[in-house]
Amino acid sequence: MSFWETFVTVWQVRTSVRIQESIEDAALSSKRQAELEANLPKIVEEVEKKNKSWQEQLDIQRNKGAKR
Amino acid sequence: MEDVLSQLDAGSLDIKLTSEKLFINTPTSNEAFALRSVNGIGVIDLLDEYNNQLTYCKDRKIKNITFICLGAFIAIIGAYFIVKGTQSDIGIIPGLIFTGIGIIITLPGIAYLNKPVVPKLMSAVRIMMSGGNRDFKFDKTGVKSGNVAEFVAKVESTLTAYHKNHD
Repeated sequence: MSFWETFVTVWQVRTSVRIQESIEDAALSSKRQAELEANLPKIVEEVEKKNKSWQEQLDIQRNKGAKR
Repeated sequence: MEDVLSQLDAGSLDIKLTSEKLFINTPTSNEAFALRSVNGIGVIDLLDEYNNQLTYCKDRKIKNITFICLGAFIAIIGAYFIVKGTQSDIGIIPGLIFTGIGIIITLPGIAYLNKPVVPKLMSAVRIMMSGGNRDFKFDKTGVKSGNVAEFVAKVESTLTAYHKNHD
């Protein structure tokens, strides 16, 4: 096998690996995006529920500190 | 001996604030930070972790329902073989084996559906330092979250005063 043939074969293999990886990455990121979008309403609901009382507590403590 | 300005004991998280240092103890670490290296303190919600938990629970639920359906299907085939076995020479043994396998496949799925894992949104006290951030997990709806809020407010005011006096 000549140098040129070896060069082309290596280039083809590397390019095909790169294409395969980019397809896998695209599939994985779109899967993650879809999961996030599906979970978003639940996440927002949980964040609102937890942060309401927390923010009140923190505000009370900050005001206490400011008065001192 | 430095004055202890505030101390927080929130279960697995134990933090002590003195006039010069911040001591943080967790079950896996004991750390001390000089106040001069601390730029700020904040509280963040660990949304990525919660999202992963939600996804994991959904996947697990689907897998368990699939196992239940598969197990039920095999058990029904087993029951069919038992009925057929009583009327022919095959006997009921193959049917009993199929039914047993079906029940064994179904049981873990039923056990999970009766006691599912509930995802929990955790939060973290984030200490911002010159060299990077450090996060310490806690639950905002936990019984000691009021103590954490008090402590965060105390550190905020102490840091402000410290940097004002030392800059």
